[in-house]
Amino acid sequence: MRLLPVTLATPLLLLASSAFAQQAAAPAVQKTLNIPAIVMFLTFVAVTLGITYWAAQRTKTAKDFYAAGGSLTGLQNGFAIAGDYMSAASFLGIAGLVYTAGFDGLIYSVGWLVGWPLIMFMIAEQLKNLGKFTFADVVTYRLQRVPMRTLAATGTMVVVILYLIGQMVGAGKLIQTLFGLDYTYAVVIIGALMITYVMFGGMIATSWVQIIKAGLLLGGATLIAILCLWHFGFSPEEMFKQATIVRGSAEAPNLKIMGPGTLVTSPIDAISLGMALMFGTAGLPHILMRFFTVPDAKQARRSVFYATGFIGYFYILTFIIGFSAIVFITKNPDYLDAAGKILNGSNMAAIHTSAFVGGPYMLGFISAVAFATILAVVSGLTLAGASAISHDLYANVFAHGRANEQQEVFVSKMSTIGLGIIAVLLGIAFENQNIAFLVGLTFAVAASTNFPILFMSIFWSKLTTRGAVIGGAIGLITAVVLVVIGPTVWEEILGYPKGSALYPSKYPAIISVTAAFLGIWIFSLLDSSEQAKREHAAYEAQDVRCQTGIGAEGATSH
Amino acid sequence: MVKATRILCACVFFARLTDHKRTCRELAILEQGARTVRFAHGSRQAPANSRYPHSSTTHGKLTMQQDLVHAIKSNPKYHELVSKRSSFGWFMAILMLVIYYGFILIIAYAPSFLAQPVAAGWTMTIGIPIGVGVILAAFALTGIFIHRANTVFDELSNQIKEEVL
Repeated sequence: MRLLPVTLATPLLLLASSAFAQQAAAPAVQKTLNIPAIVMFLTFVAVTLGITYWAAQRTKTAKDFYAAGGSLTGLQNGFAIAGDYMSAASFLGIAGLVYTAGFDGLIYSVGWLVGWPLIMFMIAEQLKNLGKFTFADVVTYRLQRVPMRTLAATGTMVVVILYLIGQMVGAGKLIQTLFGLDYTYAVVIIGALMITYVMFGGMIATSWVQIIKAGLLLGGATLIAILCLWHFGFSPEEMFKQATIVRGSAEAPNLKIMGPGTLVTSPIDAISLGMALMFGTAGLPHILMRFFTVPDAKQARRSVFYATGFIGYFYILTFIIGFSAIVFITKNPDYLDAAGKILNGSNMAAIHTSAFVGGPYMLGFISAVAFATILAVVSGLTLAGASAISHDLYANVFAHGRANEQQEVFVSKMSTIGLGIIAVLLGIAFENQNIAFLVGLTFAVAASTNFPILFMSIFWSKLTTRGAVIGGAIGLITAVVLVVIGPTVWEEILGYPKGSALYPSKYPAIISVTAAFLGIWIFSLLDSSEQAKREHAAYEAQDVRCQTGIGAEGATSH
Repeated sequence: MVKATRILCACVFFARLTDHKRTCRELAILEQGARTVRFAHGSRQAPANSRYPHSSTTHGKLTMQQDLVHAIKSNPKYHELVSKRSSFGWFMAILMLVIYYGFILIIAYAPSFLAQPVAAGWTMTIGIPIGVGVILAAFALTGIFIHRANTVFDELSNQIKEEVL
């Protein structure tokens, strides 16, 4: 069994591993091979590779490659969006947070969800009516092509690379633990598979990988949650009661886990985190790209409706699983290490719970689902990054719109390979780094660069290229600088003494998002060039198309 | 008669508008034949090379596009649609923000409120139904929006298209 993934990975491994060989040589938490998990995962891979072959036959035009031909239904796209958004980090991380802190986990998951209604009310239909393949299409609708494409592509690439590093490292560790595979092999296998899906199957294959993964994840989590609740006679109250007793004693149950704890202590931090999650979600390029895969605005809004439902339901399930984990795991020696701590860290709470309620086959199934989950998310990210390179930078900046469709798709496929290799190398390089700041940084950049320029270009007639470029750049730089001089990087990674961070909070969004909007506003108003006047004048036509969908991509084809 | 002429004109405008969009935005997709047609319209430079492809390819096309825009904008139903949809969209967005930040501010300033049991003798605190309630509210708001959009807004939008195009 072990030979198979290795053979699969060998060509890329040779490319990737030599420079980092020493780092990967010491697997710390490696366990025995998990055979049911590997069999189920290989089944998933076989099915998705079959779909990729099928998708490759259907990927003929650029529209097929970038936007699945604009042919997905709202329900399919809703599943795919949920598949793109529900990462292994949110499944295992939130369940782990609930396991550790109880109620606080719920606060966190609520923050991850509330961006979605805003996307529906403000972004989804507008994006579909104005854009084509990437969100940069919308911001260049009336603004200057070269500077805006460059800015949007930069925002996209920063988000994609940061997000990919986090996913790759998390994936490598998870798979090392679950499958007993070496970290480097795990990262290389993921890189090789995601390149295959995206390069050959484009958006069609990526969408279906995400749809299947979302189905598996929702189905698997539902099953575990039902098995968990069954233990408590389907009474949540009984689950909470036992959890407080396990964490305390029968005479003095620990009620701390039932109310707000330490996650939200400063209201400013809470508001800042909320802004990053809400506006960041609406600025994630791989999410925004999904709105071009449906035929019209109606299906775009339907996608968000289904996605919000799936994601919200999923977070409720993780809350149940996390609370059950408190009961099943906290004092169970099977899942604890010598020091009495949960085996392989709190992120494993959901996995241990699946083993407890469902035995080794359930464990195998959930491990395979976790692997599939990572694959789907990194594929979506890679496609978004490759599209920014080929559609925004290559076709519209370097070739000035003169590239033909075949050239553009070819560049996209080459970028996919490039990004895949970069992701694998960074995944290996960051293996032993503290990457906790990456998710925060990713969302901060998305919220402070992509979202403000997109939002203002849709809603504000007086936006000019100069204002958007300066404001967007201010947002990007502010977000990065505040993360670097904030406590996570400054104290924990750079090793400066505690309390010495120049920016006292982990969450930069409240400053960086405000700075971006202010910058866009001020520099647009100060811009009195002829160019600016043309851009004001062009808003009227843009707004009519945005409101009615007349002239939108796809609207003319039927 | 007047209306028929208007519809006819608008159809031509629309055809030219979409043709214009396509030449600007989908040059790569256009077949050779379509290109010939476009150049026959008298466009002197390839639109994709233009710095402002959506507003200033040629004077003739700009005017026609603007005519369609003005035809739509002078339709009272368009204003009804825009004002109804944007006020509803903003209302719903603000409602979501109020719900979410209300929840966060209670956590920050009155955590003990959420930590009290739902009823005497219970372990479950009222924070749990409230937290789950915020998740359900987010879903419900998207449901309300989609219902109104599918009925009121789409209906208005279709009427505008029928009248103008």
